[in-house]
Amino acid sequence: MEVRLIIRYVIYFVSLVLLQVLLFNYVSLGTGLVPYIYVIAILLLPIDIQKWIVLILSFVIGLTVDIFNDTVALHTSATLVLAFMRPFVIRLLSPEDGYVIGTLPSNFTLKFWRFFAYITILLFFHQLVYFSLDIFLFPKIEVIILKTFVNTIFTSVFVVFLHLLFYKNK
Amino acid sequence: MQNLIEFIKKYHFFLLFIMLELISFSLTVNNRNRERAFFINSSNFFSSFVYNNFYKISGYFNLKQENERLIKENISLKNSILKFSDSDNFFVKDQQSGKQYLYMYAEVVNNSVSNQINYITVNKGKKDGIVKDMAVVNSDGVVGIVTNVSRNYCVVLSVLNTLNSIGAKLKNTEYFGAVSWDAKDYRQVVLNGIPNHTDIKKGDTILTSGFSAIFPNNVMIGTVDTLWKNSQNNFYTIKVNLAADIKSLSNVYLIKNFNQKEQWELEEQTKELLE
Repeated sequence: MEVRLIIRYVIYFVSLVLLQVLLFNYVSLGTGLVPYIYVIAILLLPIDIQKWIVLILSFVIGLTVDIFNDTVALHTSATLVLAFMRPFVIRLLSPEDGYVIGTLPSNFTLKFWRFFAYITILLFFHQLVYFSLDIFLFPKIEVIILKTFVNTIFTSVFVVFLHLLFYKNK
Repeated sequence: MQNLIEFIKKYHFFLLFIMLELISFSLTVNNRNRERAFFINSSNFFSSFVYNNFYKISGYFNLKQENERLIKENISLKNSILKFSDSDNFFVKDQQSGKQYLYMYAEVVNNSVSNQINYITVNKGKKDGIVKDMAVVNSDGVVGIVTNVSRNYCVVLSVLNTLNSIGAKLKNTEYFGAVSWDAKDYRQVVLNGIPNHTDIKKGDTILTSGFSAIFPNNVMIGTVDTLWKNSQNNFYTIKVNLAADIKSLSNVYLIKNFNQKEQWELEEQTKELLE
């Protein structure tokens, strides 16, 4: 990977974490739901990036968000699951003629429904793990499922919106 | 050995995932008990640095609501403290309501400091129970006296006026005098009537005397700035730095004295008796 690309991703990384902990943690709209937009950092990595790098990055960003949120490694576990599922979902949703090497999984390289499905499926696992571990001590399966579904949609909308706002068609 | 390396090579993604996930789980389980969460929490150096600096900025956004909340709390505290502080004689003062003073909160909508007689308009009026001759203070000290009331507003004669004066006394003594304004500096008023044998120096605190039945006893007026002995009489002329910054007023308290009328009527009757 080129140095310039790495620097760009470091900047993404830092600004997404700051956006998450300083702004989006408070965008609950009075519902107790929080859009965890920091996962964009993992979602929008290039398709053909080494899979183990994605894992390491997930671990670091998850732990950083955990440190800020006082959530004892919940985000770390959730983001690791997301990173683990990522290659499978990418393969599942691959277009008929395959991916172009080096592209991002974005609205511009995929059809919109593929892109939305990609985000929603991965976020679903992320949220499922997060809420399962969060409510771990009180096994309330219906609460976990409900929160997972609602917050997945909630976060997906924010992720798509931010993506359209900041990522250019290349 | 060869097989092991092959195995790791083949499944490195899955193994790394399991390893990191195990680390993460162990952190979760070990730190589940919040008292022991010493490593992963927002009180560590890095994240508290970010949060603190961010709060310096974000804190401004809800200052107004925060202020209003504090003011409301202050009013209820002041009203409740009066019940205790005057407990020796408050039954004599007012047996029905159990207290002599009531604090109300208002916001300043118009203000001036540049005239000879300055008025402040605040956003409480007849419908809120404001009447003429109520005292006006802010959290620092005296501000003025209500002179005119409409339905929704009232006009306060600022302490910065050349018409009348406020009863004042030196803190911790019983020497009293009157504070008036010489229209020179909006930050300073003049205190007359303190006898020149008094031990008084720069920085001493001047409080209201409460004699006029408008201001409660012991409300802050200001601190002594300069003083000199008058050659004509035996009193000091004292420049007092106002505690309240009249120029930047935003929130004030209006104080109602339930016994004002009674005191004034009694004093009036006594005068008539003597005449």
